[in-house]
Amino acid sequence: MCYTPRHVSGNGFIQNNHFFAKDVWGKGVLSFAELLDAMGVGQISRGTKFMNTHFIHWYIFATLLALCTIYGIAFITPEVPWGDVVQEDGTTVNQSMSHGYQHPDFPKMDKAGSGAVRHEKTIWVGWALGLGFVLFWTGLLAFGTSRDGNIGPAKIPLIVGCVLFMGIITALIFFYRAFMNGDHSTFLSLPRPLALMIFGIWPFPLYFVIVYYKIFDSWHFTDEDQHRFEEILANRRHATSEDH
Amino acid sequence: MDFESYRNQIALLSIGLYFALCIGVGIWAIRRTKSTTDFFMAGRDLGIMVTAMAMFSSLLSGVGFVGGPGLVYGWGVTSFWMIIGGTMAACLSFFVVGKRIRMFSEVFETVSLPDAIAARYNSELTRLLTALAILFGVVGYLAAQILAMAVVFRGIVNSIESLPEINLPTAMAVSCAVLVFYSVTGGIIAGVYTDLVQGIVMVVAGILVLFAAVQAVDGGIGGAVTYMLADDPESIGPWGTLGILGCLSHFFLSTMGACGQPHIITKLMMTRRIHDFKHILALSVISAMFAYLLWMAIGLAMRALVVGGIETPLDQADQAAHVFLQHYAHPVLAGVVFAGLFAAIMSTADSFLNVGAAAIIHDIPKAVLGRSLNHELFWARAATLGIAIVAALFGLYSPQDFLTLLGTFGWGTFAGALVPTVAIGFNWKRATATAANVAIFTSVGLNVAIELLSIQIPHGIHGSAVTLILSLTLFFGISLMSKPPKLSKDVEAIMNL
Repeated sequence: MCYTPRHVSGNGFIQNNHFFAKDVWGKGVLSFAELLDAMGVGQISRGTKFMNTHFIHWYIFATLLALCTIYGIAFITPEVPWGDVVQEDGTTVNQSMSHGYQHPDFPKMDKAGSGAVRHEKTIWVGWALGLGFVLFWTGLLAFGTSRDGNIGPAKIPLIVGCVLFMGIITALIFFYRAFMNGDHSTFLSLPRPLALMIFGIWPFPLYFVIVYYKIFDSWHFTDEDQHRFEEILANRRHATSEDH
Repeated sequence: MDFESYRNQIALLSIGLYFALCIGVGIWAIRRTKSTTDFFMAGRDLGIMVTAMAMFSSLLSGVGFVGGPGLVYGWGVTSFWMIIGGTMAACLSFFVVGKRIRMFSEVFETVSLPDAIAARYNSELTRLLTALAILFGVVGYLAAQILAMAVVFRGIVNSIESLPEINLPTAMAVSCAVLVFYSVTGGIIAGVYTDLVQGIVMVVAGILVLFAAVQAVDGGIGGAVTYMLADDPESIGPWGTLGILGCLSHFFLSTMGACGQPHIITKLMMTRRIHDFKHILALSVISAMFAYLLWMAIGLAMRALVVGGIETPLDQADQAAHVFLQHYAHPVLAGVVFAGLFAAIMSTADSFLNVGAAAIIHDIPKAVLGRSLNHELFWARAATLGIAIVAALFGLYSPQDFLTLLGTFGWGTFAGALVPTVAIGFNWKRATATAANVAIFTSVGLNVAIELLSIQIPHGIHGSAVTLILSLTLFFGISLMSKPPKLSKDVEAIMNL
């Protein structure tokens, strides 16, 4: 059964993504919603319940299996050896370059050596892991905000956020490839991949905070939901008092 | 005034003022704590600001102030992925867990996370397993935190020549007494209101320390980058020294793990109104981002200063914050941050004491005897005191290996056990109690096995990240292969909202 959104405090009715887009994002993003419609995404959503809860748990399970597969590939990818390192207690430990080795001058610090050498075989595995994780995480956000068969107005913002996030991760990989091959150019005094990480990836969750804020009253927990919740609560208390 | 000459005295004064504040809150909270719902759930009456600050300060804990800068010192930029994960974790908690667990909490009048889980799965075994996992985690975590608090406190007192030297048990008794006082008298009400202060201190400290760190290295951020590039470019690249796969496993664990931390998600059960969540998320994420600046700034500055030959190498990576504050921060700022350090540790410790007490006096008796204890509020206070004493004794006298083993019942184990059970199970009607029990067993078993057998995962991948993926996959797989469970009318109604 498809959940049909009903009253939305002061904003009328949400019947489809267009109305939401108009309410929440204004005209500019409404056009983007129309663009998605033109590409077929909106039509799919209304026609076949694309990304509904019945689909979402399979989607999440599939991304989990994909993550398991990627981790499996990582496990069988050989590490890049560094060599024996003498510890403070005199023992010798064979260390790997893939995840850092003891700094020769500062014992409590690790060093990594050449990024090009240690990431030669793992950089694309890492890229796949990053994308898989973003797909999984945004899938969970959709799962959490879904209502018995529909993600409603959260759908387009979440899809857009997911695509943008994957784009930033991909850009990071390309920036890092240049960096590991010796391009140490900077942006705002930071190496470019680190700058992208700090100014691009770190604040990106704020986008999802805004999405949550915007959809909260109109979809995630409406006034009618509050009313329904109070009914459930009252019925429960009534039943409990009768039991006593 | 020559502040520099009184650096340690200022630090001790700041900590003393903070302790006094905690005691004051504890006394104030006695009157407001009249029932177990008050003691464990703050009467489900918390406002926006208090909940937001309590959530992020519980999340950050001592790791943010001590471990975090140490990780940057040791591994370069690697641990920045944990910071990014921290902000994403808050989003996940609110999108996936917040609304439904809050509704379960009120409809079923739950006073703990295992209570809510028992209501969702209609299973006392699931309640018992959850409570036991929480209890082990609480003792292990608290032992380490109380020990850390005592070590820092002893260090500051003993660095002041005019004061008599104190030993570790004395330092532990003093710092632990304050924690126990407000946790016993005011329960979680005192906990969350001290968290409010702690959160504000952490935000202010994060911003001020960033400026101090930029000034500490010649050339500011550019100067620090130059030193690190000259020593090891990878350390200032996006993956640090740990490498891409290790970083992403930490990222995964920190992002997903918050949904499984009992001391964090129980805060979601305490809000006054569900509608407040939209404000709480924004406030919590923005505050956390400011507080995380301390982790990043001190870590990078200390690594740059050492590889640049300006500062002597550290004996322990975890000393990064302490040394930076002693040598490069204004004494008043150092005092505020030291108070912030205690605040960070205590904010998590008080929450753990509270969820541990609930497990002992409420959940385990309910699972085993079928009823909760009489005079629950009295026993809640007694259990809080008892857990603190046991944890302190473990911290002082248990072998390091055993302490480390108990420590594995921390973030990673909670994540593997409770993320599937709570984050997925509270949103998916097909999730079964059997799947939840298997997820909890898998998480605890695998994490202990990895620790006991010293299993090394290739490429620096975090063992708990592997455990989390496996427990999630098993949870889905078992639920999908099982007959859909029959839900009670109230559970179904809540899950439809």
